[in-house]
Parts: sequence; C-alpha cells; structure tokens
Amino acid sequence: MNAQLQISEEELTYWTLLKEGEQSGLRFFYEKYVDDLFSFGMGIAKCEHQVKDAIQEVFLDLWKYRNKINSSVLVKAYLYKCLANKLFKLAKVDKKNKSVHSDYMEDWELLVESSESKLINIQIESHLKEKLVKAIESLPDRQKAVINCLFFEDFSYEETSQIMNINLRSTYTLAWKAVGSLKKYLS
Amino acid sequence: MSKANYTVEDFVLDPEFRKWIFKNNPEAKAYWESYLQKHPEKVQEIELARKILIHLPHEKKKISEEAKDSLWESISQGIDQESREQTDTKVVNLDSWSAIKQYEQEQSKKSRIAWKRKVAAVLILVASVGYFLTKSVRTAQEDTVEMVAEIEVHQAPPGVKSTITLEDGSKVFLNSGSKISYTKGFTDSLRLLQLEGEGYFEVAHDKSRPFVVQTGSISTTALGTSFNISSFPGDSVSISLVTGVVLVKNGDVEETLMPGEGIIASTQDSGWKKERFDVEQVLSWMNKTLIFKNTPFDRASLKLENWFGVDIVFENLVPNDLMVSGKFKDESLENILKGLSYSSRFEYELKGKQVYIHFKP
Repeated sequence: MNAQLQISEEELTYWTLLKEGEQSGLRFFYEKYVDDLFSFGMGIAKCEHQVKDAIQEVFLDLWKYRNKINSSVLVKAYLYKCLANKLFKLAKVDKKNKSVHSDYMEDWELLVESSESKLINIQIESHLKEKLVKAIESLPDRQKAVINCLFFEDFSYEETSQIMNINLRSTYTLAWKAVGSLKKYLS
Repeated sequence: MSKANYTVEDFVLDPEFRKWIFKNNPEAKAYWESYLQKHPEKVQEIELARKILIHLPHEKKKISEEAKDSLWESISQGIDQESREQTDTKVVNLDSWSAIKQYEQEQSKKSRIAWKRKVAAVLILVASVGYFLTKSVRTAQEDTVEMVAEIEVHQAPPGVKSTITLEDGSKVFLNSGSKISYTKGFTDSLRLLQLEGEGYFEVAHDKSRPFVVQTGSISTTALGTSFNISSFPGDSVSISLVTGVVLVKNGDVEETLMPGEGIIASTQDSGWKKERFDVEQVLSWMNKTLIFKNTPFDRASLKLENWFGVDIVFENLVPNDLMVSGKFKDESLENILKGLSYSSRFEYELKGKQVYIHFKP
C-alpha cells in the first residue's frame, strides 16, 4: 500500500474532531487538500466556477455525512471521489453547451510542470511536451481524470477505480485508451 | 499476465515500469534490464513509453488565496445554515406525567392552536406588509422585501413544563401555562420573542443580535445572560436577573439590572420597583418546587391552577388577607392541598380537573 495514503496520526485527530462536529476538523482537510482538489477538478471540468461549487458541495457533504462515513476511509480518496462524481454529473448535464470555458478563467496561473524536472541531465524536447499538452487536452473527461489520478496524484489502480466509481477492468481500459491516444500524438 | 506481449500502453501503465523510469529503483532496474535482454524487439516500444512518461505535462491549476478563503467562507456559512435547520426548536417534556397531560390538553386544543397560529401568522404578515408599505413611501427605491414571516409558537399548557432550544442556541425553560412566540430565524439584527406566562432564559452570546423578550409594553434586552421573567395575566410582571446584565424598558423608562436584582412591574400603571430577589424562590419552578411566602391565597391558587392544569372553584368567599406559606418539592396536588388546608382552614374535593374549596367558617 502506498505509504503516503495511509491515515496519518494528524489526519486521525482532525477526523475525530470533525466527527464530533468541530468545524476546525473540516477546515484542516480543506486547507490540506483544496489545492490538489482544485487542480484535479480543473482537469475534468475546466470551468473554475463549476469546480469551486463542486468543491464547496463536497465539503458540505463531508460535514453532513460525517457520522455515516467509516473512520477507516481515506479522506483524500473520499474527497477525490466525491469531486469526480459531482463533476462528471455536471458534465453530463451541460453536455449540450460544451464550450471552451476560457472566459471564466480569470486568475489562475497555468503551471506546466512535467515529471521530467525530477530527472537530471535530460534534454528538453519542448515540442514533445507541447504535443502532449494538446493530446491530454483532447482526451475525454473520464480518460483525463484517470490519467490525473494515476500519474499525478499517485493513486493506485484500486483507489482510482474507487474514485471513478468504476471497476478495475474499466479503469485499466480507460487508462489504456488514454495512453493509446497520447501515443498517436507522438508517433 | 506475461509482459512479453506488452505494448507501449502497457509499459506506460505498469507501475513497476514507472518505478524504473522515474525512481531508478534497483529492483525495477534489474528487472527491466533483463527484460530488454530477453526481448530486444521491445526496444522501440519501451523507448516511446519512456518518452510519453517523462514528457507527460502536468498542468497544475492553482486556486488563488482569495478564492480559497472565500470558498471556505461559503462552506462555513453553509454549515451554519444547516446546523440552524437541524437544531430546530423542539419541546422536551420534563417528565412523563406532564407528557400525558400535554397529550390530553393538545387533543382538546389542537384545532384551536392551529387556528390561533394561522391568525398570528396572518396578522404578522399584514403587519409587516403594512410596515413595509409605510416605509416604502419614504424609500420607494430600496425595497426587495421578504414578506414571508413564519411565526414559531411554543407553549407549555397548564400542568406541563417544557424546555426549548432556540435556533441561536439560547435555551428557554417554560413554566406551565406559558407561551413564547417569535419570528422563525429571527433577523440579522435582533432576536425578538414574546412571552406570556413565565420563562427562564439562558441567552446564547451574540453581540450583534440583542435578545429581547417582550411582555406587554415591557421589554427586557440581553446579550448573553440568564434571567427569569414571570408575567401571568392579572399578575404583575417580575424580571429577575441571574447572570450577566439586562436592560429593562417600558416606554421611556429604563433600568439596568445586575445579577441578583429584579424588577416587579405593575400591569395597571407603568410604575415598577427594583428589588433584590431570592434566586431559590424565583427559580424554584424549574426544580419542580412550588414556594409560597406570605402569598395571598388567590395568587397561590392561580399558581396551582397553572402548575397542575386544574380549575379551582371557591364555594364560598376567600377570607380577606389570607396568606399562605410553604415549600412543596415535586408534590402532588392532593398533598399540597392537604398541607394548605390545615393552616388555611378549608375543605377540598378533587373531581377530575376540578378542585372545590370550601372555607370553614
């Protein structure tokens, strides 16, 4: 099991607070995960307002159902799952007006940061990266979300399948299709 | 599944492969190097898989600090709103006996109360519409007015005491035969309640919204305190402060009370007197204790009527200046009557909800 995903002592403390109805408990998880959730959400929805609204709902749900959620649940995975659910539902609703939401993007910066930076002495092939940006951009929402989970959020296949609310095989299939499209862009 | 038939996709999606590419993990390295030896035909696929992986762009969309803060604000507000809805006022009966009594009362009163509530709501609605209409004459522009004012009414019928937690967290203990009413949700600037009868208030602290209890023309204003108000019809209004500070107002006259101080106001005129009170005696009703201390007999019998939800009928004249004293903790009506009958020289008869009292000559 992925070490970073085990429940830390700290999380457990705040989880207990949250269950007792202390807002500070919820605040802790908000501060800890809102950046990641926002980034993850933007990967699916693109519209900042939608993502923010969905994040708000996710935390309100967490508050509302705090007593019904099993203590052993991974809060991070739970939050991702709820967010993904809400955004996919929204996407279904406004499939008709599928527009580029760039009008709404006011104040977020775009940081293109590749995993490459972790490696030293590697030649930068910027054209490759550009191609991949476009390739990822063109992926269907669900494929994009799977790629996000697996490659950027370091979730396992099992966790990803839970977040996406689909079975393992479908998770793998989605990922496989996504990588297939990326491959086409490069070759 | 054998990795011999791996495609580019499979390599990319293989966590072990990623360990080799990104972390140069020794085990993974050994495995994939030997794999390459065994399957030299896979070199191109591996090469492409590696390219995809290391160039995979991670667009990290950042949320601004302001947006983060304001988002939390809305979450926090959502929670407050939700919890307000949840702590919806409920009446808790002090004991099962009173619950049964209340049930009996309710059966007979239900239709009347419902009718009264409707009338109250309509009256308030009319009043507020009227108020806003007159107001809008002056400021015709700025009125997007919420007209819906729902009036919440809680009452403890005679014979029943109840505890109510208001939506702001304040607690009200209602004595038998008492009633409070207020606009649901209060307002942004005021927590205003009407009281008939007797109640003990433990006010939740909220500087921005004073807590005001109205009893006829007298209003008692508090921020976060506990106090008792008794204002039964036909009796004088008495306000007793237990903790904190309250401001009592009747028209232009006002008085600030400190703990231990009380006010007794006559309902006939606007006069009142300030005095120290006996906490035990004033709050005794909350401990199910009835205390009479040189209490005129007619007042004592009013108290008994409310307390037990009975009617007391005097078969002959109540002797002038008849005072009663006594302390009865959680006693039955029968026992109290028995106790009083010796000192006050009367005979009594209990018939259902009627008590007949006959004074001895």
